[in-house]
Amino acid sequence: MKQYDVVILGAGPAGLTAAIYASRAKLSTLIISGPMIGGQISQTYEVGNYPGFPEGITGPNLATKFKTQAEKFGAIFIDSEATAVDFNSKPYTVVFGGEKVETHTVIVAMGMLPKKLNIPGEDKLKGRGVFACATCDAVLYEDLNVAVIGGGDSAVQEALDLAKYASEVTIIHRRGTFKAEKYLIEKAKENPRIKFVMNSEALEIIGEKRVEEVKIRVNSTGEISTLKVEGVLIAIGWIPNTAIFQGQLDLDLNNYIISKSVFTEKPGIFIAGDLNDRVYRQVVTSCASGCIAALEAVNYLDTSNQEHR
Amino acid sequence: MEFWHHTCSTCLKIEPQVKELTVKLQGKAKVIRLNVLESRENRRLAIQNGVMGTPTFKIYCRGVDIGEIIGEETLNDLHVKLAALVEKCMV
Repeated sequence: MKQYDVVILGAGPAGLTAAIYASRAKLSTLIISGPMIGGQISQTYEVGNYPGFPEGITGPNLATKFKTQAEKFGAIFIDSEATAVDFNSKPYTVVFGGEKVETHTVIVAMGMLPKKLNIPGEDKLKGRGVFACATCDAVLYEDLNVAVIGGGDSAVQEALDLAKYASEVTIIHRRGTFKAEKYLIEKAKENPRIKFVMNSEALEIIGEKRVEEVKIRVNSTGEISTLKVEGVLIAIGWIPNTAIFQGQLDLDLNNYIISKSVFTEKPGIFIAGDLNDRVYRQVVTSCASGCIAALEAVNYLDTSNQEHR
Repeated sequence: MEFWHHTCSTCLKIEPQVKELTVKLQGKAKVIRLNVLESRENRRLAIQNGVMGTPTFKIYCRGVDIGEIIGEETLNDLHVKLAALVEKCMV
């Protein structure tokens, strides 16, 4: 079985930065990239606030630069997802795509997954009008009607992005007020193409081959109606991508890994990125925690009495 | 015809596989890649063809729409589904 100094799970800004630091420190470094190199930024058209790129840079481009830099120092990338881990005995093991590797340290940077509505039609019509990323597919809704479900920053931002193309965007929000930043809400209210359906929940997405309408219930009265739309964008938030760590690491009630800074309760297992940050969640803060996790992995390996070193 | 664009991460991820498939299907089917962000014309063509997400593969047999594959597929799935549609067209 192959053995590494560090295995990094996830290739968003945190995992990629950890890979740069770990491989530059001459640790044998394996990064199991998960679904996308870049993680959430792989779906961001422009990253305008990452230092060093005054003209802005696309998310995928930035992610590619991070990856190239890590590869330059010798990090090995595997285009697969970790499906199981064993953190209960040393060396730790990680399983992916039918393979198993041993490692002395692990940096968990698997980020968040988009939350699902879990209503009929959501899965069946995915890619057929149900989508989660306006940046990716807004252009395909030119002159069409779209519903955006959610009330946070990302829902309102996605509605604004969609309104550049769609003829009408209806934000459906289950509460009477928005969680989104005030300036975003003001921008949305000023946009004549954006409508609001408040205190209402989406019950079903209806359509044979493509989305045709969405069934909505007004929470206060129970009144049910349908809205004719060609697209439904779901932006109701994110959940921690931690399912494989059940029984391996202590998780809280919301499935976040319990940690102090980058340290978990298991020696040599570190966390970084959005899993370790419920407040800022910026590319630069994710990079910072990836860096800290890698430096702590180096420190851990230096100070532990492991025979292989 | 693959409807894709250069900021669609799934499209970029499967690009090598699509290129491999193009070679494999030579003589049987022609693979055309259409970037929906390249021009308004391309965007309208995608919308007219009912494309609502990227990547979407639409399969045409002598000009008639005979099937579609939407979203990320493993190379094997893509091969199997496409092979079945190409067969269907050969009959």
